[in-house]
Amino acid sequence: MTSQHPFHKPASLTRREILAGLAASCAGLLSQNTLAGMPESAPALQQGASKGEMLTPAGMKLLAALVDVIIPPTKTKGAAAVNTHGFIDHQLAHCQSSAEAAQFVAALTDAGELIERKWHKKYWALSPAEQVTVMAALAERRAPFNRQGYPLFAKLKTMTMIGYYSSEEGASKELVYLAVPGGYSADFSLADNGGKAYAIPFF
Amino acid sequence: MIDPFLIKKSSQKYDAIVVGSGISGGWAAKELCEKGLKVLLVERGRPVRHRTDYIGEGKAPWEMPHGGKVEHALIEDQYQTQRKCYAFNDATKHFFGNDRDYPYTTEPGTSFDWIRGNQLGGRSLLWHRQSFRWSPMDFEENLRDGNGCDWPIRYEDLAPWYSYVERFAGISGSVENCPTLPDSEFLPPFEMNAVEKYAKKVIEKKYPHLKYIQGRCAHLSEPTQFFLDQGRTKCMARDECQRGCSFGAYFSTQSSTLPAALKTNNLSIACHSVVHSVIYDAKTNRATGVNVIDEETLETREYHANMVFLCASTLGTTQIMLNSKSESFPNGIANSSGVLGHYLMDHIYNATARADIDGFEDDYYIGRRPTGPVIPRFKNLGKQTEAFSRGYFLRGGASRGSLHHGMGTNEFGADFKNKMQKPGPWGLFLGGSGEMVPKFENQVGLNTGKTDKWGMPLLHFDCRFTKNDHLMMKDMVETSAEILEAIGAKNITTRISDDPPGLAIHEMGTARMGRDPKDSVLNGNNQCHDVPNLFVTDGACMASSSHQNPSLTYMALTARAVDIAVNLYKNGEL
Repeated sequence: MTSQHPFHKPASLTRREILAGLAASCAGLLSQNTLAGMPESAPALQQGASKGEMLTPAGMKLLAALVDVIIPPTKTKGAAAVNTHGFIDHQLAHCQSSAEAAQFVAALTDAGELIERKWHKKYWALSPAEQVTVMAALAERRAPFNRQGYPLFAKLKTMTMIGYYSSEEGASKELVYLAVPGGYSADFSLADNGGKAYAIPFF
Repeated sequence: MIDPFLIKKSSQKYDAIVVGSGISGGWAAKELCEKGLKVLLVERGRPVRHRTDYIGEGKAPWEMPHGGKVEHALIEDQYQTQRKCYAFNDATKHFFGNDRDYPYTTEPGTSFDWIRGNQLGGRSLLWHRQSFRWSPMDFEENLRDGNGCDWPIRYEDLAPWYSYVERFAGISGSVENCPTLPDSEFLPPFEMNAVEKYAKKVIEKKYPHLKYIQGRCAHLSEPTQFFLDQGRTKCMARDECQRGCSFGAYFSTQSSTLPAALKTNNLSIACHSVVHSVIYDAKTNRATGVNVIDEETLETREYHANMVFLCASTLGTTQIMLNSKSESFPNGIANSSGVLGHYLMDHIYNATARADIDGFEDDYYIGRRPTGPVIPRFKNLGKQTEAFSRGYFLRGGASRGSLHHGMGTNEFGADFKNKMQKPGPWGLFLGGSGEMVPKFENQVGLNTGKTDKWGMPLLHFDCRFTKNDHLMMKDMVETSAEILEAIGAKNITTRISDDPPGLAIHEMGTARMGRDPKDSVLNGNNQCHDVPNLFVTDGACMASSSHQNPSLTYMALTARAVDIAVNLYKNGEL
């Protein structure tokens, strides 16, 4: 245990003064603001779904159900509860080329139809066990997804991980997020960190 | 703090004009001001105020509109080249040049990635802060192997100036007595983590001629009162430096040299001032000022001074000089030698190796360390023993991955999530940082047909890696893999990228120093052979590139050149 580490010590007067002096100039560093549009406590899954920037209400509902199977609620919220599907929809609209986004949306739509054809229900209406079965088939590109040329699971999983672990819940509750570590020390074990990994910047 | 010192038009004749406000320009301004001269610092971009203008600082990913990613349409429109820099993201993008407004051209079949920072502070806000002295060998190799021209100075000329700038900038590192990497005046080094400590033990035992040492960087690891008095405080190990640092924990113009220069009351700053050319008076054979185009209004104006320091970055300075044409200098000011624009170099960063290492499962660290270990140069010492000439050092440390161990797998669900909550295995990285041999053929010139929105002729690049560079890359990956294997790492992968020159962001050499006015632009004082009151102290002055990160050497050369220039000035010799 690195009890000497400044991060674990009460802030010294000097450091408090510094932080107070900085408060006006870098408020983001000290605040706990959450991004507008990323509600903490309003699972779209339960609310029904509204239209996304790229996706239809049905598309958003499908995406919310999929991301929540990839990263479900545990002791912390799951992917849908932190609006990971909204994050993905937003990324598709703003941070990918329209061709890339269109490919993803087409593959997602196609997967939704394949699911309905084979299991006779919308994905979100399947039982939790069925949802896992379908996700495994999607991951392994088995029937009915074996003819999909687009690596939907890989793309979906990557974007789900980025969205979830970039959210306040994913970064700072599921993992450890240190805005201001206070210095570097290697005299620090995994147990000192509560056995948890650090959040990482994706971009 | 800077606002009272900002000017637009001025009829004043200054003692000195400094063009460019990055690492070299900041140092030139500080030193000139502290020696009592009235100085005008000319910057093409906007003012950036310490702390208040660091708009991306401290933002968590969930506080940013796209999680930290830059909008696709914006990249397509403005950042096609800048996006290739590792530090480019939504919290830093405003400190990068805008590729739409700052175009350049390349010779067919060649490519060059020019990463730019056009604002007050320049790339001192964006740099990677690695700070290494050159060694005596580095100043002698041109003479030894006949590539490039002999440096007109030696290590001993620069050593006291290294000390001088290190004491002010604050360089963290460990004393090593390593002949290929002389020690600086150090603040304490950043600590190695458990795997690096192990790697050090194994490497230094198996390879007695190798050292594995902590990277030296311009960060206040343990600031003394001297730094605290400047408003600079300890590095918080956020490793988000390129967003700007309100702690002033890393050296930048804003945190360090600019406040010192302002304190003298001798500094004025002209922002939004694109220098078109140096004004030259043939009767006196002196530079008398600079022609400027207003960045925003495109209006033209002149600034006048008794001497001019060009610190506009290697390529920015070269562009200005090439564009400063007169009857005396039809091919650019101070270019009687014809070498202006030639001998362009970058560093060779294309060769990398990665591996996993088992064990150390209980070990971790706290903080995002802003530096990592290096293995100082150990090949071709004294004489060439390898298939390639010159040398490289290896940089790279160990870290424990987060989330990577779950990407690209078919896992999902609660078990997967719980697995991701724990860090993955330790990874080791080694990458080469190699010297590009100076070649006349690697060059920039003015594009005669195309101009930018300010009417400046675009720079045209013709630069490529040579056979020697490719042989060095091959050796870098082979040697890195061998060292990683010796450490006991597994899953070793190596890669030689086909990135063109430029991305090491260490471009240098296009207005080189030399002993002979016939084959060099500058003398050993960073003073133009042809025009005695015109000085160039940024990377353009370099006669070779060595393999170390060059900024510390620019700082030392700049401080030294100012000292020489002011002595000459006060003796009436400029």
